[in-house]
Amino acid sequence: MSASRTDEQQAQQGLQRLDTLLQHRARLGACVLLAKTTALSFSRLKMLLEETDGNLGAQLRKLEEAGYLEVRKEFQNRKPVSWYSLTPAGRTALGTHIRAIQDLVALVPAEGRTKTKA
Amino acid sequence: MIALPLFGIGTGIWAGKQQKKTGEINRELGRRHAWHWTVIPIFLVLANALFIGAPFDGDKVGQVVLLVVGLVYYLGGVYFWRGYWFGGLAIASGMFWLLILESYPWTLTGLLTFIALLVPAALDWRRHVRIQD
Repeated sequence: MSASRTDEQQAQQGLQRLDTLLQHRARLGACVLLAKTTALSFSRLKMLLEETDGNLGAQLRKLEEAGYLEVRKEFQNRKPVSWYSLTPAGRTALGTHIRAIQDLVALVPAEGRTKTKA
Repeated sequence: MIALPLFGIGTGIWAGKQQKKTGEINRELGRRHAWHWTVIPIFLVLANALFIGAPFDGDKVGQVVLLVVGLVYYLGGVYFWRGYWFGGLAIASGMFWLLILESYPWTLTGLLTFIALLVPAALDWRRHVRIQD
């Protein structure tokens, strides 16, 4: 079997392992940020991801419905605060997705991975 | 002596409240902070227990206290925030000031510690302001 054929198969496998839910910038960003902490408030996520209330709310709901996130609501100084945290299922899905990206990146020749000037 | 470890527990509770204010809860980091700052007073008590029965020598006890607190702040700089690093070195340097200076070794240590903690905090604050701009 030629090297390029193996690369093609690896690329196909890598693409199949990518999680469609985690391909959106806000959803991937939220999961990555939540992976390194216990919980983040909605306003903190909004600030870090630079998203609008409506868009972020919609994206987080999709992750919640998929069982990747859990939300806990509480009152702080009489204001409602939503705390988001990653579920074990979400952590596993993120791990699989990141590993798939790493495998795909490894297939790109070194010159294709050099930094480009901003 | 019994009240001293409460310092660390109090630090943990305070850190938890601060985390809620910033909108970011990190239980693992909070737990590490609480352990780290609880251990200082325990080590201070144990280190000073070495002097039980011996005639009280303020300079020697002071040197041990400065070394332990300096080490704890230095490790705080390694694990938590780089600013503690310089503070730890400034506190521990007091051990040498007590050895070589006849007058004002504690004042010098206090002054160096103040500067060593204030300068990184000010630089950090300025960096945060710049990022937010």
